[in-house]
Amino acid sequence: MLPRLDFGLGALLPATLFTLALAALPVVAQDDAAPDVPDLANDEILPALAELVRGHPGLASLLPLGPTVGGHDVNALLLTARPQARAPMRGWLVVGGLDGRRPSDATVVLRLAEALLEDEQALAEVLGDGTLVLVPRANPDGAAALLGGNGPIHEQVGNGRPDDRDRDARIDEDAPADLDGDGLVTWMRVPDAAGEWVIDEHDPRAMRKAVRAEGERGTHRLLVESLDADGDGELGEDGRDGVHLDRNFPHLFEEQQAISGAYPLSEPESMNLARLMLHAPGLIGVLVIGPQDSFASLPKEEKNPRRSGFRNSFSAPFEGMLADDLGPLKELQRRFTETFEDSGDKHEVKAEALPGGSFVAWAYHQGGCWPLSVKPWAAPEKFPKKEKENEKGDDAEAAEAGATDPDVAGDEDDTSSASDDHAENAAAAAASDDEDDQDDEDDEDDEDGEEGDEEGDEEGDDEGDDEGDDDEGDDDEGDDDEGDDDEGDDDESDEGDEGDDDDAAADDDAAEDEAKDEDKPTSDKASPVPAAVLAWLDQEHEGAGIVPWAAFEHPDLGPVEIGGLAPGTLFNTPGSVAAEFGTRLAPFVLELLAVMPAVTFEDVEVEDAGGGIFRVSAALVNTGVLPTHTSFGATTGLQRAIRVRLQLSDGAALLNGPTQVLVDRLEGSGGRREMRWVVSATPGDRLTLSADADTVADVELDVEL
Amino acid sequence: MKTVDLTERRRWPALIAALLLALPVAAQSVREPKLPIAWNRFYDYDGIVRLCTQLATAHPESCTLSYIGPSEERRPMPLLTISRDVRSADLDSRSAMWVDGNVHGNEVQGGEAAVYLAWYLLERDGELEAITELIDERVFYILPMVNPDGRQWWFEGANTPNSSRSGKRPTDNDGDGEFDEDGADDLDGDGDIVNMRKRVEPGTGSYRLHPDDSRILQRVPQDKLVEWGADYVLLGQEGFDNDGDGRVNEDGPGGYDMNRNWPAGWMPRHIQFGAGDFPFSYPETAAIGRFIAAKPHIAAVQSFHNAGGMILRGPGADTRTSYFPRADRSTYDAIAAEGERQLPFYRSMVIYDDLYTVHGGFVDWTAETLGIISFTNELWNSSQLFSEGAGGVDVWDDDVTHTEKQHAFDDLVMFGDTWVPWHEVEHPDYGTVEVGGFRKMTGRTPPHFMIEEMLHRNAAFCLYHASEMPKLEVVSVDVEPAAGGARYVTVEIRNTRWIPTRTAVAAEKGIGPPDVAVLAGAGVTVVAGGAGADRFDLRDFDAVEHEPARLQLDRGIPGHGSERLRWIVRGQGEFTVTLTTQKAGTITATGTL
Ligand SMILES: [Zn+2]
Repeated sequence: MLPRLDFGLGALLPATLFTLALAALPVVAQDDAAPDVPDLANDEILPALAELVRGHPGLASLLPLGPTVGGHDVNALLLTARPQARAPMRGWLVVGGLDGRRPSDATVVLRLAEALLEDEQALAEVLGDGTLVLVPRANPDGAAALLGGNGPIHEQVGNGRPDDRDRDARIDEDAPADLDGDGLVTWMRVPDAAGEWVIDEHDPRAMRKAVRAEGERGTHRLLVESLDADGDGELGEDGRDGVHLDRNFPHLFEEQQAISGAYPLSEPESMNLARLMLHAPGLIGVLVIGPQDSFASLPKEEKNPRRSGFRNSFSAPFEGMLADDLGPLKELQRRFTETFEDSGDKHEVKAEALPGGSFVAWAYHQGGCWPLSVKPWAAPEKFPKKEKENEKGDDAEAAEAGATDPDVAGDEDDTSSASDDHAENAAAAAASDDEDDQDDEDDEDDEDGEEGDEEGDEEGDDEGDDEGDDDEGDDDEGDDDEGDDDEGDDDESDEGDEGDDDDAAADDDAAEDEAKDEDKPTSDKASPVPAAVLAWLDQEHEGAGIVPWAAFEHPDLGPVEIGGLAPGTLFNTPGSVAAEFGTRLAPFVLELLAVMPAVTFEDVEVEDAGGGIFRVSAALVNTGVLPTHTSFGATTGLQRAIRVRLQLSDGAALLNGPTQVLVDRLEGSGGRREMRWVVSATPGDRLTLSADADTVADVELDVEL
Repeated sequence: MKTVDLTERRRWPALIAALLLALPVAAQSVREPKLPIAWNRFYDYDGIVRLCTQLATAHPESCTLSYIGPSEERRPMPLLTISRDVRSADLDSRSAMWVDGNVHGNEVQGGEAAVYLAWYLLERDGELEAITELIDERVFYILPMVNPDGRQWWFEGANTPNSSRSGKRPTDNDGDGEFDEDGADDLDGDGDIVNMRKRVEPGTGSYRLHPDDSRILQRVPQDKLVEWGADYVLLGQEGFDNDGDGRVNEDGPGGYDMNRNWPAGWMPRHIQFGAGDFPFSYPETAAIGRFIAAKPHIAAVQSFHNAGGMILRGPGADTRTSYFPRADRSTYDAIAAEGERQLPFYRSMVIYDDLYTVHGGFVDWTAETLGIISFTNELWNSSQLFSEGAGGVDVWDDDVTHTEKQHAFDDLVMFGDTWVPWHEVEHPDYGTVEVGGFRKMTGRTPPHFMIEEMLHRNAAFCLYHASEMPKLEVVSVDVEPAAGGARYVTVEIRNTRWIPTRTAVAAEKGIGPPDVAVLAGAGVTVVAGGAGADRFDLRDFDAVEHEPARLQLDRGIPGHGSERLRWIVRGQGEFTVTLTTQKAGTITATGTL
């Protein structure tokens, strides 16, 4: 017999490492109000976790998850009040920083952990023998690119895996570079009538795409700060992107994309996360802090679950979730919204659609877990309100109270227009700028797309069309990736969920409102240097993050300007926002622990039928709020069914009824399965009912006949 | 950089030709094997390891034995590497073929087929020109047992022809939290797992004894149960309810399929039975994955299974047809067509279309993810028991059941060797039952005296496939004057075999690097360059915009085709054109301006 590996602390954590961790540096000071909470360096995370372990030895322990490709370590915090460390791990997994461009996720997760541990008593109560595992930074290799210590500061979505992105038989030979020596890899704008970009009239530091359909011709090319190091005519086309961990999981994994990795779970970072779930199948859900947001936009429903000829099996992977599982997810969404409103945050973000190979989708589609994700912050797409407008705006908001806000959750069109796509859109556009005639034809296709968009309302404006077309004429891997995302989005809007009509109506209203205000146009969401973001940085952060354009003599391109935005500005949550968000998340995470399933035997009845014959009945009941399994998890079988067994003392015998019942799933809040037996026994004999499972704690009931 | 010297004569054929002249003619009529091996039997794990050891010991210059793995049960997995000067040569510069067998534990003859291939290559090296050339120019990586645990279990355990495909990692197949707790049971302890039948009151069963042959049960139509007095029920394979859950034999040893564990269209268990938790989740598949990924010069793959007589290629699923572009299909068809001639009773088939859907199969991975021309052969077709009409049995007659043919063969040719006669056994759940049926070495494996033919014909197919790996030669190097004192340099390179240096799927999906041709010379400046040069019009070639001295050939050199490269150069002196490929080594051409 080979039981599933146990992730109890005793098995995993050598005492020496523990000691080392505890002896390490003091935790970084947290100050919610400070506008400049710095992102944690990679080597600050372990000490921060160790500090929490030291402060809360009864609840917290350290869970090392192993080294990365680039030689960093990934560590997790394990919170549990269970008496024995080796008991199965049942509970939730919180993961931040899968995307290397988001080092701030670690701040969210650590602040969350601190907030949870502030009231040790309350946490211990909801934890019971459940567990909460928190991984602050799943991709330290990528984060290192933004945090320094890995060449000039640049954006690196993936880990430290080298690759031949442009398939020229040379590996990472032409990376974006810091040409002007300011320590940052920013942008180059190159005067060129063949370019697609123009200087934004709202802000000469901002760039937007020329609207060719309206007779506007581009004046600039916009390129990542780079050389043509390998002389192939492409600038910065094969850099250190690594493998995007959030594209490296098996569900809908995109093969033959360098960004996805060589094969599913090819990367140690993703494999170690996957093992955590595969080896601890009691984890009932994940909460990913990152660019996706399951609260802003619920996953769509699988409309056509094709079953194969075999019981409990399907002929193709799902793209959406089973309807049975969307109910509890909606309830979690409701609770999330409630706890956030309590904290005064409306949580209005636009998030990325679920990509193929993502962790959170895999957690559901293979792991059978509740797939939650939350995006703490998105770069603003609208200009900040000025003082007087602000007042007016407040009135308008008050008047609107109760109505669906056009920007919020549920609007799938909207949420799909990810602001995370800023830089990649631009990179795609810039790359196509650089292509030959063939691609110009594709560019014209783009215009058609844009034209359509322009005619539509501004809120509904979806750069997906635009971007998708770029991809067709462009071999760049990253672009393909993005293009696929957007295809997904289009599907979503085409399929039309129930909510869509309402949302569309809300969009129209919003569009009218905006149209009235001619001084407040929307900036180019696809730009890596969008006017609205510059305005926001000016107003809220005294211009921090804006890199003024400066002339530079480029060896390949001649005179250019280098500048724009500091790397990470569009992706990474500002430190103070991240810290606050972590605090606000704590009540919701306590809810997640409180709603976990738990089973008990109820209505146990023994009826003496005479002559030494007894009729026994009992019900196994779920007293938790969530079902014992997701409906899909009951199919994937990673988490085993609840096994109910009847044992009789010597001399007693079973006359009718099963010795073992496998209960696939019990609904939440009282879901039950009734069972009956007929037993031959003498009074005083005992029978024992037991139930054991991955997702709920074992129970046992002794009955005297 | 290692280059292939085209002028070098093959040493061995010349040497052997000289030897043969000196030998008496009679030596050819009775050929004593260098390493005698009995090919009319099967070998267990230790037996296969012993054969591999003997081969490597007998041929140290051209054969090495290494081990990958180990398997789940810690068995090292022997791997033979065969090539000329195998210890010293730069093997990466030679096209290589991967051959394996026995990923399914019960499909044992794949192991012998792989060892036979190695044996035959080494045995006839220096004697037959075609074989000598293969060892000179190619590399063979031969892994006889992908699933050594399953193989050993099939031989030593009580099993059927079909039990089991799996490896031996304990697996909870019935979801009750217990692992491998209810497999088949050898009720009578005779080492065979056969069928159980039980006699019941006439009319209450669903079978009766065949009127002409009481060994055979005949299913009785529903409306004739009483009239015909159906008095037998079938109770499945030998075994009982070990775990008391009311089911028999529902969770035996292992219970997964390592030929569904590869990262090409991999699907989890609820879509693809046996897939494992993730690609490469078993030690055997992970070890092979690591080995093959580190050997990008592998240009051909052959995997041996049983049974049915098939030469299979992908795709494994209808969603994967884009991985088989037209150009590659032509290559597959050309090789498989020759295979059908080498392998009577075998048919060339496409897995998803002619067999069934496979997600994450081994050859799916090598063909679709690695871009290698890959075949799976299903060894042995029981139609081979009788050639047409022999023994009074028409092999193609559907009215004669498979069981009847098998009995006829067992009676006439095997003298009862493969049949366990029905006999009574006490069963813990069913009372007195009868146990009987064909032994495990029937149906999916040939009788002993037909093993060698199966092995040789399949080896022949491998050798043909290996010979069709790309082979390059320089056709011509031409220097011609251009206007303004420049010169045109034109180099034509030909591939004389079916498999291109880069398959179409590799080119289209961006698998591996493109071939790269570089013109260099101390006194030479390259002004322009490009492939696709016209034979007559010097100005007609696909000039590249950047790096004209370094031409990327995304589609490589096609099978039985050539590529004409042209440069405009200035200067004088010697120049070298070097074509670097992943699958066919490096070839150079030189010239002078
Ligand atoms: Zn097989």
